[in-house]
Amino acid sequence: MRCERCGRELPGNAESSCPDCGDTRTATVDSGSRTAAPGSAPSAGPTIEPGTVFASRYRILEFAGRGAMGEVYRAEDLKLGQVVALKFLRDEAGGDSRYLARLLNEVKTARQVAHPNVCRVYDVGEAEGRHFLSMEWIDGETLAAMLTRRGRPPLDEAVRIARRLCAGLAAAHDRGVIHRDLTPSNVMLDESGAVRITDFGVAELGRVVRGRRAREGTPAYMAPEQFAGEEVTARSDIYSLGLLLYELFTGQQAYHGTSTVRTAVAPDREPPPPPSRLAPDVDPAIEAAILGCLASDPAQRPASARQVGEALPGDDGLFEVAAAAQQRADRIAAFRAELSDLRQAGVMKVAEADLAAVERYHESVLGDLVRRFDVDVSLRGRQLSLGMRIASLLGAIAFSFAAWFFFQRIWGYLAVPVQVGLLASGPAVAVLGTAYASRREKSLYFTMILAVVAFALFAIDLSVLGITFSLPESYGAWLALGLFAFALAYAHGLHSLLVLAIACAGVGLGGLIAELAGVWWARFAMRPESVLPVAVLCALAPRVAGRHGPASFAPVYRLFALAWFAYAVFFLGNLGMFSFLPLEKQTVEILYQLAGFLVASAAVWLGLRARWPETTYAASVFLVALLLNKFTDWWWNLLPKYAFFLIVGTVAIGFLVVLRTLRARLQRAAP
Amino acid sequence: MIRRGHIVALVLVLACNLAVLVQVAGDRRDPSNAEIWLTERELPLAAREQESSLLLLELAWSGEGGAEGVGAVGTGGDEALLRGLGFDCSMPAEREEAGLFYDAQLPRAAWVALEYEGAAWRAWQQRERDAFASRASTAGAAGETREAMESRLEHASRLVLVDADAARSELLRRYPDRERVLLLPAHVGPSLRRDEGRGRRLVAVILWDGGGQVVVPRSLREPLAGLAERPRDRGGKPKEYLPPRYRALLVQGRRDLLRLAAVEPLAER
Repeated sequence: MRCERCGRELPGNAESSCPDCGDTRTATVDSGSRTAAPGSAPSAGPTIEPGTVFASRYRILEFAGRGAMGEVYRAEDLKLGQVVALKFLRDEAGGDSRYLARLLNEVKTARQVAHPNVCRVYDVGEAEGRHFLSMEWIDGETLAAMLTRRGRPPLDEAVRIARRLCAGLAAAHDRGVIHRDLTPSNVMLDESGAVRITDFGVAELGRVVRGRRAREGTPAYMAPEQFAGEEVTARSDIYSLGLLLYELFTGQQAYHGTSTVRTAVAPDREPPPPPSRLAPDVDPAIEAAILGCLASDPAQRPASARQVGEALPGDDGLFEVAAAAQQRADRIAAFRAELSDLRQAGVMKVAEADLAAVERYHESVLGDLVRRFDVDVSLRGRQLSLGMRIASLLGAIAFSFAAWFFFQRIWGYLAVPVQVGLLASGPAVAVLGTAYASRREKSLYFTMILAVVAFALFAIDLSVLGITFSLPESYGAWLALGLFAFALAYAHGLHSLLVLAIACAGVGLGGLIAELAGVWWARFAMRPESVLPVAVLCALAPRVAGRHGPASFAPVYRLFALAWFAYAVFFLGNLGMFSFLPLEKQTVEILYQLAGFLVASAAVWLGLRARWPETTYAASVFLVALLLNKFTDWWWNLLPKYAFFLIVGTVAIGFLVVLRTLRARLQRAAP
Repeated sequence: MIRRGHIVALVLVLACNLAVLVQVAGDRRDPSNAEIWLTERELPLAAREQESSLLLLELAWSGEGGAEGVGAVGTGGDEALLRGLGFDCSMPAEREEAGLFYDAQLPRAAWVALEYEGAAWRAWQQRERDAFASRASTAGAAGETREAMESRLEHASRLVLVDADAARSELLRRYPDRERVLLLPAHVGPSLRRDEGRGRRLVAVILWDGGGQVVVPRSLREPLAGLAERPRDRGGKPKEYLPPRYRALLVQGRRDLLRLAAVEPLAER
């Protein structure tokens, strides 16, 4: 049993008052349930039976849990056909103006923030004498439950959660909302790993909270100034965030074992033990970020949650957040279109007032998403965005050529030290330019242009240095170029740079492998086995590097993996004498042809199973190309041409029949 | 907002430039590995991009059949040179499958020795004259004239490939004169070449690691000003050549990087 307010362990199951914070509310068991709603904890029976239609709109599906203020149910919104969470005030709390105010406040403040890492609150209402609010249903568990169930998560998972937490809190602060009750019980994690901050019951709009309300919250997670009833600001949330991160990374509360909460939050208290003492794998950067949040003096804490997130190792979750924002905008667009169709077909009737409320809400959400992430909210916008991407890529290529030709024009007249200085400062300035541009624009068009130009300038730098000093060409230069492009690709989530990075690193790595095998690196392409490790690395990269970049990087890696592999298979499947393997030419060719068929088939299967459409399509093309290659080998010279193409056509029809059968099965299996 | 990626990128730029400068500084410590005066015959101006202000001199050497740079013959012939570097030369060049057989044997790292105006150069001239005589006896007056051949020999590079070895120390032992012999890192590989009247034969291809070009620094450009616009090969039939218009001191540093240390104009004859 834990105190609802301060988190202290309490004996017994009955109502009690907490010796630390003096809270007299019901102490509740923190839920370990995998299916829970925000701020909920199932510990007692429901007061509404499943199946009941409430307020003529919500069908109660299941009881999710009970919190200090009341009960939470999973329900179906019959008007909108969505699953929502309904949070009811307890019967005895319904008459308490404090709880009612808190409920209303939660809706008012939470609706200010539209962010993928903040739980969405839809509306508040009263029916059958009960006050309730409807909010996003999250199929998962609280962070507190997760920590109880699993202990501290692996470091990379903890960093991911921490980053999202910081992003959500930063979004709230951006809208002038101070949460004031950030605890592990108010952070929800869903099955997909998404993180959402919930329970804005005591949140405040404004930059500073003073007076009586300043002390509301959960004492164990309060900043000293909050506990003392002094000025509460966003930096008070940063302190709570520090405590929460401490617990997330170490699995223990920062002041675990402290006799009272009052001692724990005293301004002159000892700092908590460094997180790395409890969890040795904690990075110094993480430790510094956490301890920075826990400074007693608010002025010494980081200025924003975003700053805390940025101080964590790895790249920020901006890419995922931006992608989630676009997905949200797309969902709203799809919802609007479908709703319109349903209404036109007369399947569904929605009251104009409800429709207007939904429309207003969506407009507000979309406005916020456009402002924060520059998302596309219409098909035309999307088409224009694509045009802008193409234009910026063309611009980037043109600027790169301009840089090269300009340098060619002047370099002969420059003294060598000036040349070297210019060559080195060019890419460095362009890199700083990308950092500046990314801060000024959300869509990253100019950032991408500058990043490509930075890459080109670095390539010019290496190339001109090589010519100036008669240096032999080296695979090392390709590796350096690849690494440079990776750094910029991951800094900003730029796909064009990722393509350059994989291509350059592939050449460099292929060259290195060839060199190690005794072949001149510049001829690595003539020993196609040199690129097989590159293909393997590309296939594994989404599992390793993918966590740090946008999810949309993974298909690029997979396509490159297939491309490198296909190159080796086609080359060695036809010209076995170029293999490193000490085997007969024909044996090598058969071996690679078989490997090609096996891997291509496996890739098609994997693509279907894992829902990687690009892998399925690319592997299918690979498979068909392999077949055509073999058919040509076998029959081109043997058969009349019409017979050859007749066979190819017949095989294609065979494929069509097989695929159609598979598709029909899938459609029958679908609900 | 500076992210970790920016820092990595900046460090890379800095590290790569520093690495190059350290390598160059190491190369330029005294004493250098070789210093050799060559004329425009051995170091002609390289073809220049239309808008490029860069001046490059290109290392040229005389190979068999008047070829410069490709298929040069070593002391024991190309096949012996290739065998010495570990290539399998067992497939007769005339066989149909010889192409793929030799293509599959990729160039290998080797050091090559180029001798300047030595016995190999005189032997090369003699071989060219003998070859001319042989061609003249079979093709009559249809081919190159004697004047043209003599003019070509008079203006050809006096650098001749004399040897190649995987170990630099071996070559250094065999060719200690560092004012007449250049030892250069290269990649050597087999190739098949079809010459008129000689059928298909195996030759050694030399690929320079540094591209075989040397930049003319700004401080040495003066004697070369305007020369690029007036090519030494004046065309015509038979070809007319201008006499060499400059000589340059080619220095090979401690790490075998080539650079120009001086360029002097030559008085026109």
